[in-house]
Amino acid sequence: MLTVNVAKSGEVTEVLLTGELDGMTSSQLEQQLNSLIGSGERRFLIRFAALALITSAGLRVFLGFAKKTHKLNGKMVLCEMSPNVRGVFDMAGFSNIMTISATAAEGKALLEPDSTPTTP
Amino acid sequence: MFASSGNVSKEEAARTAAIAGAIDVLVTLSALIAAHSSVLLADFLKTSLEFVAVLLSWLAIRRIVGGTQHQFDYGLGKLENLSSLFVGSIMLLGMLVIVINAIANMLNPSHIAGLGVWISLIAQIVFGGINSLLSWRSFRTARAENSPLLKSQGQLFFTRAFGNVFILLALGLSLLLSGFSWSVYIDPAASLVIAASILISAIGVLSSSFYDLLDRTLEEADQIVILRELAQRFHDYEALHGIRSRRAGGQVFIEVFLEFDPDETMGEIQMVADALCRSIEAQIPSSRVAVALAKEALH
Repeated sequence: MLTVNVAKSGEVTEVLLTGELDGMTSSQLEQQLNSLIGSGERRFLIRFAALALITSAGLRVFLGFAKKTHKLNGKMVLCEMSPNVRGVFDMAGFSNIMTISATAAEGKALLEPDSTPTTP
Repeated sequence: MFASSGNVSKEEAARTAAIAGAIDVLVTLSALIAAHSSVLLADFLKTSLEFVAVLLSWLAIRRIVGGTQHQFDYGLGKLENLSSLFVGSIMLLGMLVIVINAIANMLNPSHIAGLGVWISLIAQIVFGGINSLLSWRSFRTARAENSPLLKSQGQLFFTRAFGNVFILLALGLSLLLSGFSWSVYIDPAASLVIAASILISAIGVLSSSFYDLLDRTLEEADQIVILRELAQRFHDYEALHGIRSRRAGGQVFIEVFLEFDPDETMGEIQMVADALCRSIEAQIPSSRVAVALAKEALH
């Protein structure tokens, strides 16, 4: 089960993930992220603090979403990952193409309008 | 279209196995007729069931080879998996027969005797060597071609070689220790050990074939390989529209739906697609990768 909570903080859209992101729940997240993009949001802070598990299906969502934000000159920062989740991102080579910060505060700073682009 | 060399070598291996199995059945039958031994009865039943399984595999492979000549052009992996399922079921049946026979002979024990015992002793040595050789050949070909059918055959021959050694020991010890009253239990006890080994092999064959037959999805490790390759080529495509993957027999089919920059030429897109396919196929055994242009890319 996955719960997706969305909160707006200035120009940054915070997406807090709680539960498990796998083949059963990945389409739910994909739809919500697409909906946010569709409504004009461009700066995303994805918070993984309460995410217990991520599988390849979940990774696929972030790869597709990274492409979309890049195409629209948006920014996406992933933060608060547990060592296990971070390990999965590293293994898939996503750490090289996505910006990952340790804390939400660091992530927000990276999403400030005058910060350098974070999505390749 | 001609039959592939891989399928021809499979057919040759299966035909050799079927002929060897038929000879084995005749020898065990003659030993059974010429002796009073519960182990030999179990050996005959087991050998006969295995022969039926090998014969079925050979017929399945013959049909597959025929398929490349426009007689059976679809679902080759499925046919192999169905044959493997049947082989596994036959092995389970053989195991049950041996167990029932062993229990019956433990309840009514008797000493082994007759010329058939000596025939069987020689036969176990000869067929033990042949089965070991066939097992090694089947495993080697199965690894090269990723064939569940030949893998199941390899397991079958290994089980048979194991059975040959055990029957040889059981008969030998029964003869050597016939002065002891408890020696009458050696034969059925050895049969139970053989039955246990058949059960383990049967479970392996059945589980592997069953999951492949259900078109199980790719393992996470393989999915990660695909994603890693897409991440490495992040700037070579415009958007990722999806990944489809499935297994069919020993083959893995992967389709990656990508959108490219409309300003890119088809030649440039083809180069990216080819590199991606080659890289994934090199890392996932027996995989066939196709890159499909997503709808937006065609506009």
